[in-house]
Amino acid sequence: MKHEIKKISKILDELVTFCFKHGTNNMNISVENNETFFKIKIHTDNIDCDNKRVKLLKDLLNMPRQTEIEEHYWELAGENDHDTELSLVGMMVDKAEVEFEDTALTITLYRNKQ
Amino acid sequence: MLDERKKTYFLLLLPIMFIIAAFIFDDIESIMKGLFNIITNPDILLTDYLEVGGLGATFLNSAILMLINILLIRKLGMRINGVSTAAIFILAGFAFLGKNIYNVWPIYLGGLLYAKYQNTTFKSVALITMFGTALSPLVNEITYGLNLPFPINIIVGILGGILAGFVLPPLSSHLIRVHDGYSIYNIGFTAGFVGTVVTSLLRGFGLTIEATSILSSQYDLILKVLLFTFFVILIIVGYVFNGKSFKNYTNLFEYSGRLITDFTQLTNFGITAINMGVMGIIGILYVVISQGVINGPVVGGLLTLVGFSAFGKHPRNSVPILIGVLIAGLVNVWDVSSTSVIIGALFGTTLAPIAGEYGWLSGICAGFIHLSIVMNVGVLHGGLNLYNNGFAGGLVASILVPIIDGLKRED
Repeated sequence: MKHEIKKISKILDELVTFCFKHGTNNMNISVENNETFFKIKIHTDNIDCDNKRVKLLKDLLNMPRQTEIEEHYWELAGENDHDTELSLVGMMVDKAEVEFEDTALTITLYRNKQ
Repeated sequence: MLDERKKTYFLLLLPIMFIIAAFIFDDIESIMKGLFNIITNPDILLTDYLEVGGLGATFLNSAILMLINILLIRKLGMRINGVSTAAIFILAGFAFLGKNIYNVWPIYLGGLLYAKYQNTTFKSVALITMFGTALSPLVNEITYGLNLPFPINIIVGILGGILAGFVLPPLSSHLIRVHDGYSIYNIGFTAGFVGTVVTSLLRGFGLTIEATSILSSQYDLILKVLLFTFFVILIIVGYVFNGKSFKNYTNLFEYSGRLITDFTQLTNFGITAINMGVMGIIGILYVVISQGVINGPVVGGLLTLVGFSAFGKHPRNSVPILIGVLIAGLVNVWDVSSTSVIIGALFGTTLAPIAGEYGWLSGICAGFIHLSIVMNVGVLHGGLNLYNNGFAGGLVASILVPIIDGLKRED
């Protein structure tokens, strides 16, 4: 797919914005470029989130991948500091794992190469 | 959660209604004659197919385009979600004023060639292509409007459409950053630029492309009754899909509507259908308050409003835009009951995310400015871009959002 690297950067941008908007001061990010998929992982120990918010985050990130939407709208990811595009991120990835315990949040996203 | 089969039946409601209505109001002979007239018209804005081809032919034209595109969605394995619902409804609406069973296909072919060229699937560009039929008049205008000899006119017309379909995917994803998703009709914004370039080039060769105004008024009552009935059906179907309840409908109002806000995935299909019906009735009320008539372009505006009520629009973010356009119509030189002002309001709800994000006052300002812009930008593309309001809306959002944002004190 075209602009693959840029799309990964945009997804990461959206996750970083989400964490900052929820009071994070420190986060660890890792991005893997594997043969068949990209893996993006972000972890923070001090996020200001509740279970309801995390449930919504999980739902948005677990939306089915929709290439037809991605092709048209991918450039919007990470572009706005008022609103979020987490549902768009969900449509750009194949699998999302969200773990939340006390104030620690770990998000792991997998995007298959096509 | 509704399965895709039931969602397909939901989308089939309108084309089935149009087919039945076509054969109630017209006989087969006048429908065929009307379709021929529709196909052979230059089609630039504003060409009301109800005037060119009659009621039955226009209904059938719309129904055929919807049915083929629903089939395409199913065959390509695309989901029936907010954006694909919006695509079907915008095709249905603009089949009353410029899209027909001849002029849309070159755009699809251009999209298909782009997908092949990029070694990707047609599915990934199919939505852009469906919306991209905004440039369909380009095919008809070259074929019938420029006095080129036969068969060169047909070949050049089709090639023009293919080229437009080819360039839209990369352009649309690039230009979306200009307004940052605050104008919902992004392809309208994109097609406005393409139309402007093409029109300028053709004018450079001495060819004339001028916007036109062919409008009907004799089907007002029939269309009001038919569309109102359809919108009530949408509400009833939504009520049933939502577990025979209107529960959680107002939760939808919390969303700003900025791209991408897919109500079918953020809420559920039932709530979305209720919202579509409610927005359709609000649209008809606006036409009645403005003392206007429902004709082809107004049907286009209403069905587009309804379609995008699955993808960002709801009463809280759209009504301020309607009020803004109405105020502009009252204090400016234009007649609020004219088709241009009414469709300026209905299509102007492309700016709904501004009201949703920054409040009703910003929404009213956006609507007010939108009317002046939309009345002036048509000359740039000469009516080749059917989504003139999408072009104007994109310009308004691009200018207004950074200013509103700059006026806010907080980070």
